[in-house]
Amino acid sequence: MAEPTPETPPASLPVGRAAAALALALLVALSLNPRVPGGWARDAGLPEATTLAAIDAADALAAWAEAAGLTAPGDWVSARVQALREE
Amino acid sequence: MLFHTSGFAAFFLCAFAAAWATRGRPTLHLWTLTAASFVFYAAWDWRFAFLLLGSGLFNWAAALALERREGRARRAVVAGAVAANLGVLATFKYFDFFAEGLNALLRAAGFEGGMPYAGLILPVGVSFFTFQGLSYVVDVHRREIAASRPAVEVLLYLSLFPQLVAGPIVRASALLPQIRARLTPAPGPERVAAGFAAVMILSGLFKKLVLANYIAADLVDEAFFDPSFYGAADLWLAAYGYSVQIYCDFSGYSDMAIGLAALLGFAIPKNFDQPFRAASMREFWRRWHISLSTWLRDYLYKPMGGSHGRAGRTARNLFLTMLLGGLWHGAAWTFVLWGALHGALLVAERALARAAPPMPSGRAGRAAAIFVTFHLVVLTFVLFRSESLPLFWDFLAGLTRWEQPPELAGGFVAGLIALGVALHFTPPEAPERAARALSAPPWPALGLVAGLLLALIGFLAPAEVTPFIYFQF
Repeated sequence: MAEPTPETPPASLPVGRAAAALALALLVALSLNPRVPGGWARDAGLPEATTLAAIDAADALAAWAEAAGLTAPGDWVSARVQALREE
Repeated sequence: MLFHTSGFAAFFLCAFAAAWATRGRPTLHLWTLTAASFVFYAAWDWRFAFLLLGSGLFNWAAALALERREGRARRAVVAGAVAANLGVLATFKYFDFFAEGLNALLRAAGFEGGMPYAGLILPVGVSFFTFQGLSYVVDVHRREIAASRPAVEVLLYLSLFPQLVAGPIVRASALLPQIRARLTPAPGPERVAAGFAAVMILSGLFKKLVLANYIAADLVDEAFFDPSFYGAADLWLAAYGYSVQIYCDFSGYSDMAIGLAALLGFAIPKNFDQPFRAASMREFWRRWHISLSTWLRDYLYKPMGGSHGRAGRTARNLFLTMLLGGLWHGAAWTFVLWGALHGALLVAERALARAAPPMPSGRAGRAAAIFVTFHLVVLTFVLFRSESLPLFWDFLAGLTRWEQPPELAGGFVAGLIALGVALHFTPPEAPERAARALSAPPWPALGLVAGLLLALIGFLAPAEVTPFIYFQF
């Protein structure tokens, strides 16, 4: 990815709005992160639901990739899915 | 306190709020930023916060002393300040390396005993803030900037936390004017480049947490631990993999540092510029770790005479600069030889450009030059990554062991490496476009999109994250 130059004046926000955007970004990220306990979305079961859906999708992808001969059984896909299930 | 942890997120929110809340009271504002930076540094090891404080106060006093002197006295002050800064580096970083070399020589000469080892812990970021301290006193000596009267200006310049522990190495002439500008109240409402910061932080996190981590854990660490165990397919992929890993690791840190500094209202120059699309070693060093290569050029290569002299003298200057640049990375022969190799390649390239006809132009010629440069960089990075010279030779020997089937090489890690290389061939203006697109809608959209992308990166990343490579330097 190309690195932007600070000399190029990028679009900017007033500090107050930037602070609000930053706080919102962290709230969303921490809430949805299945590794962070105590998030409201975790309490509501949302991260588990999204995580399980993602794991199912990854499982299906891994099975398809194995069937198609693209990956070997027990490689990274299976290992990643297993690690997520254990977490 | 690593950038990707929730602990750092909490710290940054507090620092961000405190910094902007005090913006109306300039001196308090600078002290707030300085205090936050020292808290950040003390979180690694509180004892070394005193080293950072001492370095800042020493360089502040040395620059003030420089301003009051002329002629020989001025040169003596700057020489003393440079020697003291290098002395800090020599003590903490190189003492045992030199002691080991000296003791080996003494043993070879038949002497018993030798120098004792200091066994000091390397303070994180010492190479970076020492080089910034040197930049400050030398810039004042050259009259490129005025010495700071308030000590807080220098303390903040050396310690500004986004770039304190692994760079970029920001010149005094680039950062101090921005710090001094904070001493006057803002003429209107303050604005920050939030979209730009989001793009930089997210791209840095993705490079480090996803690309660098998986490549390291699934391929590079195992292949370099014992190269004699693996065949050519694994080792070639590991060589490419390490080049992409170190790029993603270090440029990822730099991107995050630039983004975090932007949220605090500071513009830090870029440190990487798609280095693997370089068509020569010279161009590579204009694109790789730019803050170090320009530092070495301006404070070492040019004072030695640079390219103003005979070809032999220029070659000597170039070689010595790169040799010392290699040593800057760490107290090990692999780093010294890596620097020497790059110096030799730069000298050879310069000689070739004089003796041979120009390289074929056009797309095919440039593609061939990029291919050759990339492979030179990859092979020299094998030396950089190797734990010792015997392991480096083992690695090189394995690069021809094609009869051995691959054990580590797989589609996933090869795909990540390909993605890391492909990032170098995206349009250079893409991040600016993304920053503008993120800033255009109302702020909740920016917060929501950035939050979702942060969560996605967190989901993709492995639970265990390896430390940043450049923390050890």
